[in-house]
Amino acid sequence: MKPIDLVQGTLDLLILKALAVEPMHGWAIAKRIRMLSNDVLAVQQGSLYPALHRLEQQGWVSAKWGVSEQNRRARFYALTRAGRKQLDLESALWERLAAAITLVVRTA
Amino acid sequence: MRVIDILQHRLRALLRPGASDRELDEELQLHVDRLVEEHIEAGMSPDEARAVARREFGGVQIVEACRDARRIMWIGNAWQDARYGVRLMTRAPGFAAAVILTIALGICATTAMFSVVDSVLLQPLPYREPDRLVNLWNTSPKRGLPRAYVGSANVADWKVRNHVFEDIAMLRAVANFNLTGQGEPERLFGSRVSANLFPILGVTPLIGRTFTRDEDQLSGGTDERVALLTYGLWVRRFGADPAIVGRTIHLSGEPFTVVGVMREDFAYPTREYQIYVPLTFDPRELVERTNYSYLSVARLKPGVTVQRAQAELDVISADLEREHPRQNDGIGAEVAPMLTDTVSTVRTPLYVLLAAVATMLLIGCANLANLLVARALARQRELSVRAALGASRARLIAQSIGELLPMLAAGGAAGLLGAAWAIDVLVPLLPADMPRVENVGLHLPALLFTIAALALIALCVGIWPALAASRGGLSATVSDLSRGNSESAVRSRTRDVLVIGQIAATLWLVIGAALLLRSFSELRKVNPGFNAEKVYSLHLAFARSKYPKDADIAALGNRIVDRVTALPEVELAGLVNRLPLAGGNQTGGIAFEGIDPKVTGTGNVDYRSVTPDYFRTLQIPLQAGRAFTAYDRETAPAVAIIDEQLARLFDRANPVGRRVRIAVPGFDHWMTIVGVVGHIRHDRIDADTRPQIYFPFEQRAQDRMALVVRSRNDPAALGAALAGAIRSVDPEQPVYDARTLSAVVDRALGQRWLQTSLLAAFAAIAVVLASIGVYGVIAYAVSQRRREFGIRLALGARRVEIMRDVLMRGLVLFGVGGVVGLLAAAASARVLGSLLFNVSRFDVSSFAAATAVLFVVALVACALPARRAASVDPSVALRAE
Repeated sequence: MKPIDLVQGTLDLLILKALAVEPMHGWAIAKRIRMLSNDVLAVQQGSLYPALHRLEQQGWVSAKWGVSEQNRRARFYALTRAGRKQLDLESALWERLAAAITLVVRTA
Repeated sequence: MRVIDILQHRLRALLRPGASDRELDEELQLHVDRLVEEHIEAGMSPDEARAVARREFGGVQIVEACRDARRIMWIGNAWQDARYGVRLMTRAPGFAAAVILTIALGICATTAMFSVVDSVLLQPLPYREPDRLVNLWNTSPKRGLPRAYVGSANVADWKVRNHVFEDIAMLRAVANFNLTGQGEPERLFGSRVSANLFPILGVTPLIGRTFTRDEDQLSGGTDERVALLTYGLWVRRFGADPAIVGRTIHLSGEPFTVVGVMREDFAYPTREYQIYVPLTFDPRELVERTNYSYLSVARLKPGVTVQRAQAELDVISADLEREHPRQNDGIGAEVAPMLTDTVSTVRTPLYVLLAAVATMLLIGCANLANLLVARALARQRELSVRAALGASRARLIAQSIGELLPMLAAGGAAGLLGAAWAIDVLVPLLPADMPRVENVGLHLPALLFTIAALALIALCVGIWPALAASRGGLSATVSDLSRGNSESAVRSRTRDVLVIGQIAATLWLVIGAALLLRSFSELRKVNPGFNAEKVYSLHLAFARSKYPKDADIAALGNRIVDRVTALPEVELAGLVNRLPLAGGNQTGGIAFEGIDPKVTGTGNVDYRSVTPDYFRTLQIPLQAGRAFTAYDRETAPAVAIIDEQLARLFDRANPVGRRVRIAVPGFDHWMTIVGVVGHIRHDRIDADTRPQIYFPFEQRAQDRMALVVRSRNDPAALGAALAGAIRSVDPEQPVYDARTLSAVVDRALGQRWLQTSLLAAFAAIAVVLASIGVYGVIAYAVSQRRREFGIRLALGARRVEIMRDVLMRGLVLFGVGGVVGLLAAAASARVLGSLLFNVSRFDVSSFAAATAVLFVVALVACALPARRAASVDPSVALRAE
């Protein structure tokens, strides 16, 4: 099955979630999201990087240059304390939204 | 933490966009490389893999989107515009220098001038709740005195009867002391003040205390020998000795105990005053009610207005007039807010000068606007394309202002430095008697003013190019471009309006300067009634403690005159109790025998005590009778000399031989008039205040005298010899305020000279700026019409016609601007009129001369481009297309 494009506004949540375990660079974040969703969710590169920069602007993630697993210089993103709070907030919001939609879909 | 992180991040993005972009590239490249690898692993050829990866990744939009996410848009834009502005500056350094210099000059002049206005007129006085402080004056319109010093008896009555003042202080501002003991004898300017002056002003001493009620005669205390020093005197004369309190100093030979030192900023009534002692006066004054020689300061009760206080004093004055019909006849009172009162003499001149510099700044701004419009037109294509691609007009204006920012910053900084320097240099040149001159400096309001002025320049100047560029929209521009870069009518009209404004404003300024210059030359023509040339003057204060009797003082004065006259370089010498035009006076009423003083109006004339040679020394002409001689001694019959104005009271009869007396009730000491001399202007050159009556020094000795000496050579060289001669008579005798009489006269004209020369300088700068403006516009118009001129010449037009064409355009601009300027000058004449002397505010010759000067300048500014237009080579002009 072809991967589904992301629902508007959920990308931030997914990125924050992906970063919750450990700092990683952009490519790895995309991979992680795809893996965690069993290849269902695909992040467009065109949205990923602007989103990362936006999150950095807002202070939810911080970026540092590090060395990737292939020994290349890579920009590693890590969740900040504010980012963790934001993740909790958005997760809760999402769960309520998802539950509500599920409810509607099943009842109908 | 988070805030700092964000700030750091944003600043980095702002300040080093290049570095951020490179990092972004590297980050994205990594991603692309991984995509390629993945595709190769999946079996694609490397080339194929790269192509697919690139397509998957998307184009340059990602970079843009990331950048946008990173930047706060408008700051980024402004920063970018400013950086672009810096690049433009370095690319066209001449242009940048012209702009920066204009801004710097304008800011320097306006900031310096505003600093003076702010420091002198606007800043509150350095006292507690200064708004509640008022000066009190007596008035006596019947005696021709709209305002007079207050009488001690009146102050005492006001104190008891009023309900509007918290308290009233009284002081004798002019009390002078010879400080002797440590080092050179020195003459000190001091004040005798009532003890409540300090609490009324709300000031406390730095060390020690101020005076107590026990030391204040006005409050019923006794006269104690105590003194308060100013900070300056304490530091200069006593080395800031903290143990000064309790020490004894000698003032005019008498011991005084120092009780305190005032704070550094205390300068009341002016900074010339260095010492304070308690006010003493003869208690009989309160009964006689004739001594009017005091200043008075009061503090209004909270909530009481000046008007209410005035109304109450009016009532009290009317009561006093009824109770003391003889002494208080026609005596009123005036309540004047202290700040307004203090600066009343300089308010109009300062505002006129501020208006002049502001105008100058605007004229300069018009030049800047013209320069920038010209440059914007050169960048027409770029701006139009940007507008076509969706840049809003606001964005274009913001860009145009943003590009100005570096030059504004540089010009503003240079202007501020210049203003600080100008204030440092100019303040010592200001007349010493200018009120609050010690307060002049760059204070915070002046800095805010500068910032506001810069913002105004940015708006006024920056908006024009953007408007010029965006007006008409793309289609107009494109058609312009296809027509070959000829300026559109709208835009040239913009430039014309700017130049007309410049001409009008400049003419306005030049007319003002011309009026003041004429007024000043009128003033120089005034004959003060004496000849100051070759005369040297100095002041002496004889110590009453050393020479208690009038006869002692008379003898001392005569010895000094004799010793000085014996000097080989001295022709004549004399003493007078008040030097003309030196500030300070001694006046009073006189009554002629057989004439009612109310009829003669001699309630207030100058009292002069002089030695015999005084008249010849100053070359005051003797018109009838005789001058005083050495025989007019204390024991000889009392005599007096009157001036020609008083002599006119006798119609054509000879006043010599008639009798006169000082008009003090109960003072029946008749003097015989022995001579008539010419009238002099004593208080000021620009006003004739009072007639003079002279008494022989020996018959009316005074302890404050001025020595005048007519030199055979250069009078300025006399100083040391005179001081030596005086010291040889009494080594402890201080000499002060020594200078040539011409210098005294110049000093009396100081404020007028300063305002005239400043306004003339501003007008001159404005003329230069305006001529640049006219030249710029005409030259530009000529360069735009080169092709047209070429064609016309090729078709047989004569060069003279081309020249006339160009000149006509200049003349039209000048004509319109000139009319506007003349109207503006006429409309504002009333303000300037108050500064003029003997010159009508609509003085035709000043208006005409100013217009002519500006006309010639404008003609020259137009003639250069006109000649260039006429010398166009048709073939070159046509080929240039």
